[in-house]
Amino acid sequence: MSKAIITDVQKCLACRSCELACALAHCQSQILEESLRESPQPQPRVTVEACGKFAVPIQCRHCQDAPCMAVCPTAAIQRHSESDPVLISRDKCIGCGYCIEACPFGAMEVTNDGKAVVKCDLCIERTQVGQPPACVTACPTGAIKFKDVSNISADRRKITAAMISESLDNE
Amino acid sequence: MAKIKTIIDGIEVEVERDSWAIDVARELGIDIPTLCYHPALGPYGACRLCVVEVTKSKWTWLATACDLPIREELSIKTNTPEVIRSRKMAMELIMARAPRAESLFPLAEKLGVTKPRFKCRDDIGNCILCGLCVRMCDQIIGVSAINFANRGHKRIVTTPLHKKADKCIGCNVCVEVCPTGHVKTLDDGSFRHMQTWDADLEMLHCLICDKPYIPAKQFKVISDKLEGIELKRICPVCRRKETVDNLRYAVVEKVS
Ligand code: SF4
Ligand code: FES
Repeated sequence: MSKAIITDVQKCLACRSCELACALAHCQSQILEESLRESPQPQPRVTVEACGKFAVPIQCRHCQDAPCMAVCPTAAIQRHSESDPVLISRDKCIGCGYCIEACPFGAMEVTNDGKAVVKCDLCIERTQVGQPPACVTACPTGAIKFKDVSNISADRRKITAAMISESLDNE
Repeated sequence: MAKIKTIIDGIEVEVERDSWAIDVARELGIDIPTLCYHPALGPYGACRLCVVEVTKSKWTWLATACDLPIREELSIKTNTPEVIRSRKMAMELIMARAPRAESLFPLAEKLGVTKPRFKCRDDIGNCILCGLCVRMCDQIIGVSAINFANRGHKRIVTTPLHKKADKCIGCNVCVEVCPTGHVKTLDDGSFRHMQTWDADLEMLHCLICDKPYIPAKQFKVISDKLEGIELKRICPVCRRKETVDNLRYAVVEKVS
């Protein structure tokens, strides 16, 4: 079953814990104190973007028809099956930035050394051993969730029902 | 596909026919130095650093691992005195060609080269003729704005007729793959200067924040490749902001 990172926009505090956890989960030592001395410097794959009253962590949406995958000239961006995340192979990536241009969400970034591109990999190493992605664990308000895609609309229905019953109660 | 047995440094593996020895070795975590190899490109064999010792029945010889296909049972050793000697010699020749290529110093030191015994060149910059930029530009980007010119010790990478590279789209891949930092680029405001290839590329400005963010020619190549998908002409940062902005309206509508 395919799972996705879902954000509850109204819960995000813009504390950027997810960015920190993400950078840490993708660095060599995975230890905060040591990671500061690492070269290349750790880099998050999620960016908390503010707009008006809201802030939202933006990361790769792992699109079904991923345009980055279509445009990559070295086929470095691949997914194993439809329910798997879209992944970049570091070995094959040449840093041309075609994918950055193709991504409609601006979710991809060049590495600090400019030689490759990185983006959210849905913490594939963590999910393989049954842990949720690092940003999900780090979020103090539970704004980021890792959910079965098929549960999303069921959850939405419950929220809508609750909202209706609440407004009826108020009348 | 037929599987073929191979032994690398004493480890026995079954690999698919025609796998490249270098890929097999790296998969096993065996370190082989390379300068001209890139997994996105085909085999080339220019730098000679990836030399390994190959044994088939009673014959033993040195071969470059990056263009060695495994087609029959081979025994490969990556760390014999012969291999070490050959790699050191190759590195000495490379360092004599580009003595000031700082990014190569750690590798040279690892291979035991401190000062090459040969006369050092200082008239050709840091290019070691690995051909990564030329092959990327031709095979991957499909532009072929640069190529080799001349022969022997006069061989260099350059633009057609040493004139401005008018085919160059400014993708910067040559800069990123060059192992020695020979290829230089500079972004200044509305232009990207490919200094080594003498090309000046006009940048597109983001329609929202007005920052220059991509060369116009590269944008055209990308949008042609993605026909059917309309690119937004805004920089990645503004694209993120736009995503949040769209969400904001969605949320506000739902709440009110
Ligand atoms: S310019 Fe750099 S990438 Fe191109 S052939 Fe020379 S060393 Fe290799
Ligand atoms: S990597 Fe094999 S010859 Fe350069």
